Amino acid sequence: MHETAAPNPTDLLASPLTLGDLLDATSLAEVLGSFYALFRLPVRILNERGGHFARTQMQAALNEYLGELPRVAKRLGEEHRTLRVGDLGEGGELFHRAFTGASYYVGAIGHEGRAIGRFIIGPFRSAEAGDPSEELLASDPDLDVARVRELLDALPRVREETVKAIARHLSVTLDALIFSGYRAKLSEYMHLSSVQENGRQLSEAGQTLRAQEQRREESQRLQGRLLGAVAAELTEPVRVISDQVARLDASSPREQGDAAGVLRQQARHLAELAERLLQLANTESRPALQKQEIEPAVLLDRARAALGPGCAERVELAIEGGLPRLWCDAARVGDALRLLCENALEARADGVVCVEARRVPGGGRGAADLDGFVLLGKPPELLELRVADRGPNVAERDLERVSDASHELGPERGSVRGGLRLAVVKRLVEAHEGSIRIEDNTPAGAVFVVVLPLFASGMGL
Amino acid sequence: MQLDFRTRELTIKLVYYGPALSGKTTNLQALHRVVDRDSTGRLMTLDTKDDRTLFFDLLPLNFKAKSGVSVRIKVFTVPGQAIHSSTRRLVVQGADGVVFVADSQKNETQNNTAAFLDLKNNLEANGLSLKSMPVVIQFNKRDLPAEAIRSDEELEELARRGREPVYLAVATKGVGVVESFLGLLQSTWTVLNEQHQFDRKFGFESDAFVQLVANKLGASGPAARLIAARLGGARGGERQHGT
Repeated sequence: MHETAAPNPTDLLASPLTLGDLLDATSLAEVLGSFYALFRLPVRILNERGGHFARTQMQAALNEYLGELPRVAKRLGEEHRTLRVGDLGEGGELFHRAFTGASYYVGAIGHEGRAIGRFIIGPFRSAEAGDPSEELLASDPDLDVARVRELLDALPRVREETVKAIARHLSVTLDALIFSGYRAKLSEYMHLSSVQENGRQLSEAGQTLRAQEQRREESQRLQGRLLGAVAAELTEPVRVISDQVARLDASSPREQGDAAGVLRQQARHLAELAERLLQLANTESRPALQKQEIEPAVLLDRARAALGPGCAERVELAIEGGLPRLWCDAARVGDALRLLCENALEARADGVVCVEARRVPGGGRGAADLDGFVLLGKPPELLELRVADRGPNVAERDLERVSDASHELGPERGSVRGGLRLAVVKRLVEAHEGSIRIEDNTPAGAVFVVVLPLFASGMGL
Repeated sequence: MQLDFRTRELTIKLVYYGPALSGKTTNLQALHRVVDRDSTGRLMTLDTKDDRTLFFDLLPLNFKAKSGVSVRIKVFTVPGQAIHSSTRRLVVQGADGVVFVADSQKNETQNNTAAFLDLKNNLEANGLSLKSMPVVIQFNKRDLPAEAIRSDEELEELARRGREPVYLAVATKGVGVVESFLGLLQSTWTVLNEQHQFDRKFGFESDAFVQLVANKLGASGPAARLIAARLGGARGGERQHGT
């Protein structure tokens, strides 16, 4: 916002422009020369301060002669000041009969409702009047009256109505030239600004590329961490297995039975780790989704059943009635739900996990507060799946890093397997144009909230 | 907005934004047709050979309020085609208010939302916020077959729940054009007046000014009646106060 008259060079579209911004003075003088050749009337163009801008070459001999007489020259100066900066009134024109007997027509030059200059036609000798005034004849004893009359007779003699018609013609011509000049000025400005803007955008794109490169390097670093964490996770079961195998040879049948149990447990651990790594590898390779319509209740039942005995019965489902069918890759979304349930079950070994499915308006809470809400088509509806446990709360830092495959949620919330599970879930959900977030489950525990579009494509702003 | 205390001149910039071929230029042409000749200059169009807007259209409007303040309103359009994003960003620089011209056709819904998101981004790139910017939304082309366009009932329901005043228009016939313009002018004026106290500094009567503009645009009745032709917008005050 600018509260001054000073033009802002960076915003030509809003800045007031001067005559010099819009017209070329040299070219305009040529136009005026042509005008003089046609009408034999001298013309001057002044800027908004009354300063010279362009004129016809012809000089009025009458004024040159009178200007040589000191007493007359002063009065002549006052006349010229009236012509240069005198008030033109609401109509923007002035018909001035000077004390010399010459006449002048002054017209305003405007641009967008603002006066940016004026033109002066004259001196000429009005057909209706034009004798030297008594004031002139008495002004200077050295005045050569015969010479004055001779010079006055040399001026073009024109009817005032004719001058007005010529002035209208000149005004229209100037208006067209100014409009063309303005148009050219704006085009030039926009071309230059567009180049600058494109340059700026290119620079931004360069920065984005650099940032992506940094993220790629960070991703590589995280992958390294992941590999390290996986290797560490593998080390313990391998060590345990080796120890148990070494003891088997010299052990009693009872000890062999115990060792077999430990071996089975470690084998399950290794198998699960391998499965998660395989799933993560599959989601990273972004295979095509096999979408189909499926009832949300069926989807949740299948995911619960897949948890197997001992776990499935610890999962309670709360499904809103009348939910429409979901358009998704049922196998993959089912996997995601199962992994979330496993994660929640692990958070508290003896706890119950609640899975809630409900419909929510697009844009989340207060969708109508979105700018341009009316522009949306049918308000998009979303399916919200909430997997709640009563384990430890999730610290704020974890909410932002749920996507990090190598991120460990902390000693209270799991291990590398937990991080791998959530990474797999996030990729599966995002492949369905959905999102995942974590909320605290007051007073204890966490809620993993998956939001999936119920229609083919979300439209939220 | 530019204010020159010395010459008592105020310049306001309004922008018509929207997807390609939604009727932004047609709106300006319709305004130019009806406005009093003394209150406007030529309509400038910087277009291409196929009549698509290349940079912008510019309609200058000049009004002299009773308080003696000269108010210049520069009305711009932006090029709607996706490739002109940088031009749109330049044109919205320093905008005081926006008429978003949406295409009523159902199959243009995605383009409408994309253009509105583009507006939001370009305002933010210029340090402006959609939340505090006076905006009216115009659904144009209401004369197309009913099965091809979004229904009045649907728009009325959504407009009632949304933030922006909504006007229905057939810009090619001038229907709804003046209403949309006056609706934005009033919203813009309210915001600017709250920020700069024109009424206190210049003895400016806001309602009288909007009525003057309405009359110069050929309206014979009260401006308030034209502005009230909007759908929704009751929550627009929240936007004006930047909440």
